[in-house]
Amino acid sequence: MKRIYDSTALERTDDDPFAPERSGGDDGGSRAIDWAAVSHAFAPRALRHRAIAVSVSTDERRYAHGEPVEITVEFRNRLPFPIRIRTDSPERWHWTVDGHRNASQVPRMVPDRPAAFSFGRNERKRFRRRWPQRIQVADDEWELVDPGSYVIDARVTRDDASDRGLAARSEIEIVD
Amino acid sequence: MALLEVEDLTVQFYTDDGVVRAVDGISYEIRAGETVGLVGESGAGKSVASLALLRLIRSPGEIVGGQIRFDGRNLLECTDRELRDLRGNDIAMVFQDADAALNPVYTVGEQIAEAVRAHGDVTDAEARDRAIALLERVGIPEPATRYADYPHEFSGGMQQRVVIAMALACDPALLVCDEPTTGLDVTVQAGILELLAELARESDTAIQLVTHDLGIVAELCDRVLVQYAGEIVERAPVEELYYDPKHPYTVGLLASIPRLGADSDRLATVPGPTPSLVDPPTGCRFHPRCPYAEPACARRHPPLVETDSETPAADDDPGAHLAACLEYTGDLEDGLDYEVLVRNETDGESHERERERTERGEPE
Repeated sequence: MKRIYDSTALERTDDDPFAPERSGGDDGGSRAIDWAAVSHAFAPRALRHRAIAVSVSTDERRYAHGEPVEITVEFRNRLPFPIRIRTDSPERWHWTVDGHRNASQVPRMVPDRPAAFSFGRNERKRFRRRWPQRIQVADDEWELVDPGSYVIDARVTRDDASDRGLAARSEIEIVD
Repeated sequence: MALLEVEDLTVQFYTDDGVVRAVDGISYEIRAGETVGLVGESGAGKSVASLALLRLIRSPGEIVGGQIRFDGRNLLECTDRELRDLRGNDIAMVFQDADAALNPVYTVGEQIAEAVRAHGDVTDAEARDRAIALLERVGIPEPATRYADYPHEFSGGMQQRVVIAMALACDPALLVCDEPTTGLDVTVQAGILELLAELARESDTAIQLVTHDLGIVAELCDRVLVQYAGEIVERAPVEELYYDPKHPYTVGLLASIPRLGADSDRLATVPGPTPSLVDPPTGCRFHPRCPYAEPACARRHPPLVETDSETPAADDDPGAHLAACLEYTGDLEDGLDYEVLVRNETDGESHERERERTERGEPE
């Protein structure tokens, strides 16, 4: 009888039955063309950035104090071919309230390494967040914000997101 | 020193929607020969916590913080070769879906023998003998004949036994079982549980049992960890958890176990959906679903403390009863208000013990 490791039918890099399979291995797509990669190779950088439209909206403009704010962030690829843009972090995009990333004054543990934000042709990606009008001020503490005007901003995680049109903002008012 | 010590383990996944923190700073330990249950709803991060023990988290996930010490060695600092030696030899895993864990084009015997050969200097005949012995040990009838059968020739329960046999191939010190009985009918489930209980009794193998079935935990475990939204919210010896649950989520889980003869028309549930781990609730993550939540619960994240003395988890012994609720740090004004009914039915007679607790520290 043929042994598992004698076989060439399956790729086995080591003979450890408990090891995870390698990512990108048996996807069965080795003979298919990766159109996203082709598109990325040919699309000029300026075009890639212009292709993505960012918008941020809230369910209302005025909120009672303490009422949760429903935020919708949308990224849309305007072009009829795939687009991939580089980001500074695996957290491809983020939102802020008055400059507080993810409504928090506590930095999150996200590695500082580049990643990519990919879009299919004309793809629309819509994400929702619920802001309960509280800002995280310590690891284990949140504070309710005071009434007033607040700017909610959403952007692709890049230093130059504003310059390249990869950011959007919306203003809300919290009343007593 | 405990066999396994997990300290402040944090695992996160990077998705288009955001950073999913599936395991958020969990700490626990398992002593040699002990069976510890990890329970919680689907999506609580139980499986991710278990996979992280063997560093089996795949991209786009990664372990971003904490320590996993096995026999004093930090697994997060091990090289790939060291890890390969450790997997199977010292820590083995039984995966949820036996059908997917087995290779359909090789005989089950060969797959077990391969695990034996991979971790020991044995001849082919010795590996075969060991595989047959393992098949016998896990209760496969006529093991020498069934050695040459393919996985599709086995039932679901027998496939799961084969996976357990593979995991036992090198007498691991720790067996991580990720929902080993999910998808099996109750009689087969009972057989698998009996097998695991026997292993725990006969050998010094510690077991980490991941499940959402509290009945299985009651049957098999010495201690229980309750995980909710990536965090451990309660930790206790199994009897204490069932007779005296301290966290409202655990109370909800216990209340949702269907009982024969219950006079209610509807099954009890924990209200509301599980929270998004991309954007978890502020403060206590359970507060949007908690019937005892107060404004403070949305503002303060409760630490895991000893429920009687308010001692932080890190300073306590593994057998202590810990819970993460503001009730036990004295920050809940109205306290928790639930009752635990324990029904003992013996010789057709029903005895009922009732306990009502309205405020923290108030005697029963």
